Amino acid sequence: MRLFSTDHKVVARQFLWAGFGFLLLGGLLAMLIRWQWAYPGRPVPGLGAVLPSADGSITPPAYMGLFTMHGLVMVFFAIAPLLIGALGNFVVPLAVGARGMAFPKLSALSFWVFAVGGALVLASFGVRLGTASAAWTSYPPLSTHVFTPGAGQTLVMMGVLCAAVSSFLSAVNYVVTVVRARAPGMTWGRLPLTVWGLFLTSVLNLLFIPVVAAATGLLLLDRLTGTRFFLEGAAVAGRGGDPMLYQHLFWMFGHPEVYILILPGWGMIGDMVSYFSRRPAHGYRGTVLAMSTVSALSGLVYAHHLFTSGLSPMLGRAFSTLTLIISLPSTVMFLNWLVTMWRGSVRLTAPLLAAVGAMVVFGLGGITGLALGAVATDIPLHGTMWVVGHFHLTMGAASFLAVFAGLYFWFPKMFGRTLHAGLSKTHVVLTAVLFLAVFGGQLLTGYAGQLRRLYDPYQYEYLRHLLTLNKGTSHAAFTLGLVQLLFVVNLVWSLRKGPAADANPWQVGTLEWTCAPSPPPVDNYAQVPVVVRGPYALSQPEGLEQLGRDWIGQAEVLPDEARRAPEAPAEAAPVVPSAGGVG
Amino acid sequence: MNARRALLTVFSVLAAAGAGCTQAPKLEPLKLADGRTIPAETLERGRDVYTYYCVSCHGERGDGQGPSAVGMRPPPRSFRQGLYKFGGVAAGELPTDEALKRTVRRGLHGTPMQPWGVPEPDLEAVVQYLKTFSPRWQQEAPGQPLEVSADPWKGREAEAVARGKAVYHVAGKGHAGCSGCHISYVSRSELEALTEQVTGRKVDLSKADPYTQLARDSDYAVAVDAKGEVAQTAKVLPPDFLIHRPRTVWPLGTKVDGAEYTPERQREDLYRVIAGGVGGAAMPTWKGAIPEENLWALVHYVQTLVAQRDTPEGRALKELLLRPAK
Repeated sequence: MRLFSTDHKVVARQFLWAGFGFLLLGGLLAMLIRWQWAYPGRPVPGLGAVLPSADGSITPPAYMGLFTMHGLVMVFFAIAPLLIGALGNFVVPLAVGARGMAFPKLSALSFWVFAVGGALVLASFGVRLGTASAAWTSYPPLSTHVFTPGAGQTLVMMGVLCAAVSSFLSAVNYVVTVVRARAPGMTWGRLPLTVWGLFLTSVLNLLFIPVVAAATGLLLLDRLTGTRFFLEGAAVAGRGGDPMLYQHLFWMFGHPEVYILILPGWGMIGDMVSYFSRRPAHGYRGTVLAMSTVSALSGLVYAHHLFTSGLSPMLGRAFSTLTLIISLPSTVMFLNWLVTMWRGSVRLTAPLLAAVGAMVVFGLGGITGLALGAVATDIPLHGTMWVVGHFHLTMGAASFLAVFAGLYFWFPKMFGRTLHAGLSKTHVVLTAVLFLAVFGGQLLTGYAGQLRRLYDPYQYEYLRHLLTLNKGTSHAAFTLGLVQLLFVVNLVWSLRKGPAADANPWQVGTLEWTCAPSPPPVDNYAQVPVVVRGPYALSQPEGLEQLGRDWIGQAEVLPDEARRAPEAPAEAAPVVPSAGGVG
Repeated sequence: MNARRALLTVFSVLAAAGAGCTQAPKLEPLKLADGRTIPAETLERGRDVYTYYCVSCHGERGDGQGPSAVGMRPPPRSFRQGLYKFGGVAAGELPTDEALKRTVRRGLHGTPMQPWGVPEPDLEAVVQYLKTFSPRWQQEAPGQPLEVSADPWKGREAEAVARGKAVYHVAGKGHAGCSGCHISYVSRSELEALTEQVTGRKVDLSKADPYTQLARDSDYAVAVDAKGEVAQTAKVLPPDFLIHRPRTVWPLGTKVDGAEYTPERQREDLYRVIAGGVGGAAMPTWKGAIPEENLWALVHYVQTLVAQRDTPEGRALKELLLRPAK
């Protein structure tokens, strides 16, 4: 594997390992936060060696760094690279029948910019005054040099800027690949839902990543060069800017970001329920339309994050209405997934279990989100752990279960080896259940009024009785962390000793499984496949009759189709040259 | 391989940049006048703690001019003068470490100084770091900590309050005459009677105004000239106990320092500030100036005033004093 390879499959693997590294880091930080909430101020076992000055207990400044970096690392350096960087890079060209990414060098550049950002983030832990500590949102004036003077904050913001540039470059690449590099016959209506999800995500990234990059850039200018975009009042002598401007810019990106991190997951859920129920995806067009509608709406709802910021109540009502409307297309999607499984011949494989788990946690996250979308209920709940539980269910639990669905599904294609089925299933089921326990616990404490971001919630009399509940939640979180060892063992064992995977172990019809070996060669396809049908030709009578199996490949011409139309391809699709990346 | 070398270069540049950011001016060990030498590591740790907890109000140079200090009343303490109000020592002397730590732990009631909950080792470090701001610490040892003596009025509280009222309102003969600066809380006729009772002299107060306090001079710098010399000092208004909150005294029943705030603790805190005085301000040290039993009687009396703050009785008393029924 060349380090600066432009092969999309290599870049995908680089993103995968980097993403898992940061997932480990973010997860460990989360464990420390949970420790503090269960045993406030008590030394963390084993941390004495790392934090000798505090005897291994978490001090308030250390805690600020912990929860800031947990959020930033998970959002920008774990979910995004795993779900979009790794699975996106791997799946998109293969699934559309291209020889590679439209811009192979851009692919590699995207990873290396990300790597530089990651290095900056890691370096921030070593500097004086510690890493960034102004929360993952980096609101000014807290995040300016006036109130967070440490170099750590600057390094992390530069890291975030790198991650933003990387996401933008990837997004350009995915959009052009899907629009211009589809195989002949691969019409928009024949794209697997995963590709739709990744495509819509990329469109959102193209539109909104520049906004967060601008906000972060302006903040960096404030920190480093003495500008005053976000400094105001006591923080600056003379005339200043407006800290609220940052909140608007941040959430203009921040809300679409939620969908950026779940749309690929939705696509994967749609694919998995179809593949493993052995039925075509019910209401494919409806699902695609619903996903597109959510994407469009996602740009119009951001101010529901600002209901408590002094926003005009009139605007609040408008944003509230738009926010609640999102539940309609979401319901369409959910119903389509459920109907796909209804009376299907369901096979409880690890990818399906992960997809169903993602459905459940996302459903719960969505329903708890309604309470935050409506102004009247958001105002009392906004400062509480309810918000934390809600967005962890949607962005955390659902996104990571989707990552596992995708990884368990494409692992044989990526590495040519088979994972241990039992371990995979156990891992997925335990993870999903524990996600519900941990984030459900957060919802409960939030409903009881526990404020988020508190170093020691029990300094308030009215929160003291929540210690027992928080302890239970923390122990669930520690178990969740340990359960991930199943995955690590499975991964390491399978990469070394796993049985070789055949070309199509899941018996599905999409191009990567039917037209390429596992793992695919550098150019993916010996011959660019000519697509003649959609991705979900499962349990079709003609396939059963003529081929004796319940799936038909997307580029597979049935014997009687070949007899009826020997000359022309099945559909007069415009032949688009496949822009091929050479490894 | 070329790629690997390029990668290595990029990462070493990044590492160097990161290392560059860690550099902050090295600090010299601090030789205190009490014989201790504070090692540089403690001071450097203290500086980090100070940056996290203190800088936004007290300022990077310890001058009380932090970015959040604008418009703050009372203004944040400047550490550059080495003057502290509540030092646990005779007013004007350098405070004990324990008193400094108590202020950080408890905060100052009714001011933006919160109880900060700084972990103990960090607290130790930041208290030592504060001493780098003023040269006074290297020239002068902190004062003798004032002992809180035993309350001689135990079981005779009503008597104590009556005595305290006289000690508060009349000056001379072992009485403090607090109402000279703070205001009086009795009617003119009662004030005349108290004076006669203590000193044996008849006075006519019909023309006097014992209900308005005047701002007193203090040593607190609010402006410095180009040479760093004090150009202007602040005036400090002595508190009216029915309106203002004494800074080191909390309402009963709250949690202070993690424990229930009892009447005994409240009296101890009142004793400490009355006995020691307020450093840099007009309030002198009373311990030794008046008999110990009068000091404690004063504590008992002031406690009754503090308890009336923001209550209907307190407001009624205030009303009665300002607009006496003719």
